[in-house]
Amino acid sequence: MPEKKRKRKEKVRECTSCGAIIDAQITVCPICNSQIAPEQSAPVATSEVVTEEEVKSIRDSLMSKLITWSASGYNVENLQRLIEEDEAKAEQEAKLIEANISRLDAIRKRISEIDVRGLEDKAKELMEILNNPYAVELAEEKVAELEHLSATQGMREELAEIKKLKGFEDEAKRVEEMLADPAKLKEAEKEFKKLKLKIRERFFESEFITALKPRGAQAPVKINAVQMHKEKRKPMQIEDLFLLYKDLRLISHHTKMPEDSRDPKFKFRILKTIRDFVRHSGQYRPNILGQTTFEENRILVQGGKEIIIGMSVKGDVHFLTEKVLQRVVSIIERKWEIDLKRWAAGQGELRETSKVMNSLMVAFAKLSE
Amino acid sequence: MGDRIATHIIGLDELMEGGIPQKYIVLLCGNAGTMKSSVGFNILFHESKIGKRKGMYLTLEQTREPLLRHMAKLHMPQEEAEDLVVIDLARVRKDLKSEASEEEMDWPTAIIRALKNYRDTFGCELLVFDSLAALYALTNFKNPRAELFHFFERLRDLDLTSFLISEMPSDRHVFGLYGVEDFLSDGIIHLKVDFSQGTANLYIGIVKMRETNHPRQYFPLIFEPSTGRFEIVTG
Repeated sequence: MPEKKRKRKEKVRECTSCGAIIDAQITVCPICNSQIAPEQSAPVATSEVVTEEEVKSIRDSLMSKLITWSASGYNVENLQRLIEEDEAKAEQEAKLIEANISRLDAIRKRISEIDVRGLEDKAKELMEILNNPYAVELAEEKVAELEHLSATQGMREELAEIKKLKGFEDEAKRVEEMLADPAKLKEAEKEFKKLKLKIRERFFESEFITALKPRGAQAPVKINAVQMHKEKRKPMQIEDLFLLYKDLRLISHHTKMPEDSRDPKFKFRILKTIRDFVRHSGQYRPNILGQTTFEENRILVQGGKEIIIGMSVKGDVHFLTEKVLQRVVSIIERKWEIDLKRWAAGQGELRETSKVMNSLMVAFAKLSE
Repeated sequence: MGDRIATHIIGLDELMEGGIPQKYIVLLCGNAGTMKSSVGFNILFHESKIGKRKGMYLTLEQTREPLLRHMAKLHMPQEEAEDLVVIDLARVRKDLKSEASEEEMDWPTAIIRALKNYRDTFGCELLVFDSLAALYALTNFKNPRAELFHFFERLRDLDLTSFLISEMPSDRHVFGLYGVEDFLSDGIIHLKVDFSQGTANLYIGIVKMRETNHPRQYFPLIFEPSTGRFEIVTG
């Protein structure tokens, strides 16, 4: 078998006696038998020689990685080009990509631990970057930003409410500005805590002053003190409830509104609003409560795998709405699992779902009390 | 102990089954300068910081800033507590402009109502009320025994563990001005100063604590600056 052309990674140097090019590790020259001290003979060159077999093996290995990464959705076109042009550079590139993918995996793990409710757009934007192993620094920056936003989301929401309180607008704004700067997070948290305590102290004073009146008197005495502005929440009142199939065909409609109290087309316009929200708004997400409006009504939409529930309500959305709807969606999907999978718009199979929907109406009526 | 509120005075809680039963009304009494406010704040501060209990210090006498400065010097800065509000009704008193005089206003009822609304809105488990003497100064009781009975009962209905700071009259050995406070409360913690050895030594004693085995003797009470904690000297 003919010996294949050598290609080894080796360091070579020149014999100081005969000038032969020899292996850098050898201390006796094989040509002239001269002793060569290591210090006398610094390497004169580094050559990288790889056998054809090795080249093939490297290429195969790189191609295998390339295929795996491509299949995982990573953008590795640059590596593909390098494999064809220069396997040494390709090897380096693969190492870089491998390291970056490992960092991207770490970022994915971090994202999975973030509560992204209310930050869906930012999370989506970040997920798109994760396909690019060359954008790992940008992804790390974005995930840190997302973590910060998520950690401060609750505070920012509360601050938005606090800003509505008379006498606290400026302080809330100041804390909000601090929150925007990740370096000031600790300080912002401290100030936020102080602000909340202050509001509660003021609340007590306000309640006390309102309750303070002369002994035996009925009406409260007018006083000159800071009054905390409290916006009264309006209870949520359901007007219409729609149960829709996942393709938005109507399964059932429920209402307590008297038929003659409004335009008969009103409910169809609400239905259209729900359908438009799911189809076109880009805001609809399964298992998350979506909101839009129709005239003076709030339209709430929440769905699962097989069904979507749409509600038209007046007043402030009760904080348990999402949880309750989630529960109802899950009950219906489990109980009518088979019927929902083969539903052909017949009324019979899903007639019993009306009981659940009516219970939902009652539950929300109770919550609004 | 889960069902008791610790005083966080080192050495004392062990002698009273871990602390004070929850929802009790306890008098924290003593003459002027016996650190009643500090001992009360100490309970709220550490219960908030360690026990994560929501507390309220309601002052009718000392205004907020000097009070908090003093507590910070005793290693109890309010911002280090998890959930401790300081209600400064002393300042509110100054801010009030009313044709009716202070004595004509129904302070006890207003305080109970505000406490109830506050508790329902934000939650509250512990209260230090500073002080009964100030409340008496603001209230013209027509029938003190009956009215105090109602005040204590309405306070009890709030389900808070309450510490009422009571300055003892110097001429009589009773723990409250009207002499009924002892019977109306579930517990009495007494702080006193002993001058017999040429120095003013502070002592603490549990005079009464329902449903609790506790010693009857008085213990020297010291504030240890290195730990920032109150402790009793036993043995």
